[in-house]
Amino acid sequence: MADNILITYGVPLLLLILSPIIGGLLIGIDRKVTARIQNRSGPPIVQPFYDTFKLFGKEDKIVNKTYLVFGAAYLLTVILSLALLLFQYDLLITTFIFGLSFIFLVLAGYSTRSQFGNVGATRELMQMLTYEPILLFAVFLIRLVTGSFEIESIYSAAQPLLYTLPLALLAIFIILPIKARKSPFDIAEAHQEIAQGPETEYSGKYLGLLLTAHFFEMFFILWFVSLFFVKDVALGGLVIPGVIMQVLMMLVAYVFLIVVDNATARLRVDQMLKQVFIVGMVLLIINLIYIIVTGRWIA
Amino acid sequence: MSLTEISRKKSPWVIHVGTGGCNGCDLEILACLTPRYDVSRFGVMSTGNPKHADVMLVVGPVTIKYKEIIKNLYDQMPDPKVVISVGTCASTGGIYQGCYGHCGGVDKVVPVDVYVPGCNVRPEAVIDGLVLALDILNEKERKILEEKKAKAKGAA
Repeated sequence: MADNILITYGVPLLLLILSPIIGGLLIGIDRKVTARIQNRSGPPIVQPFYDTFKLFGKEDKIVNKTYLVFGAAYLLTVILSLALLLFQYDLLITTFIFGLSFIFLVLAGYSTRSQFGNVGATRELMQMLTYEPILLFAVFLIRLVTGSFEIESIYSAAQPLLYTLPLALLAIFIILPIKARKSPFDIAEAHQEIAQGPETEYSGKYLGLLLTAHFFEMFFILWFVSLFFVKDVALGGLVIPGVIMQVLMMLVAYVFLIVVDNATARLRVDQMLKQVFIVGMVLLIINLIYIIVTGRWIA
Repeated sequence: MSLTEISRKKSPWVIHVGTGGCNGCDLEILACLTPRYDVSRFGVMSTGNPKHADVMLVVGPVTIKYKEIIKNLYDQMPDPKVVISVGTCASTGGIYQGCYGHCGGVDKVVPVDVYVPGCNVRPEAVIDGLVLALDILNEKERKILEEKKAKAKGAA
């Protein structure tokens, strides 16, 4: 019994504590790989941590108090959503709270009264408009297949989600760069056009908090994708445990992010809205029809 | 050295201010970002936002119209901050010295910490100046802290 408690609560707790370190390292490796692809030598892989520690030692230039509150709320909701995901709570609530974190960032952008912040917040809102329906539709499909919104039911389902919801996974892959703020959907914080989007007015340790939130976010989205393959799989005589399949899924999503980031240029907001929404919805609807026709759904 | 001071040396974020010269030095600074010179191995990130920046690279002669803008940008940068004047024009006024719409080097407007002369500067010189500036960052922060302490003592 003690062993059981250790696994159900100890492992998620450990992951939650380690997640900023893992997320930061992943972002650092991403920067290094991007530099190598462009034939540069690039920063060391611990560069995101250097940036964060430096920001914590800098002076704060504060515009008003409201946006500091929203920045802190953004960090806290990201951590909360990651905790809910790791401790296997309700998937729907987890998704909503993750969406809430984006809303706090949008409010932070609107509350600064700088034009860069305002334009960035508007674009962030358009991005939310694009990915949120697709994400919720995908969660709804997961509910249809597993019979419950609880994440536990994904673990106890007869088949891994990848076999029943391959197209939903594809739709999630399409919206993945939006959530990771990467090209082609880094519209909200386009460095070259609108200084830094909603984060323009942040400086010093408050910007450091936002960077930390990005570390958590990175781990969240990869873990979310990895839920699509959590079951053990028998390959010939070899049984590969679910944990390794999960890590593999995370790796696939991560490599996909880097490749797409380097291979594409930034889209306009309206292009993103049209393309992502149409392609994502069509994929999800085909998947829904497939589930209903083959009778894999549970009421 | 504390963790913050180490990381401060490893991650200078740079804002690049062109005041309107011949753009020769601007091109050399851009060359620093290319694979041949690659300043990103020192953790340099080019931001367009003074609120995120540690280092300001000023290029070109300071015209009277641009004086206010440089001052404004400098004031928006959070401490500790360093100003590098890149090129002869920014350092002394260069060929534009004595011109009617011109107010001398950058040091007439904001305090300059590192001068990188040359017309135009070579990318190696810019990188050299940047590395020099990184040591100054930590010294400046120590000075600010000491001043704060002295002030607190004086108040008490």
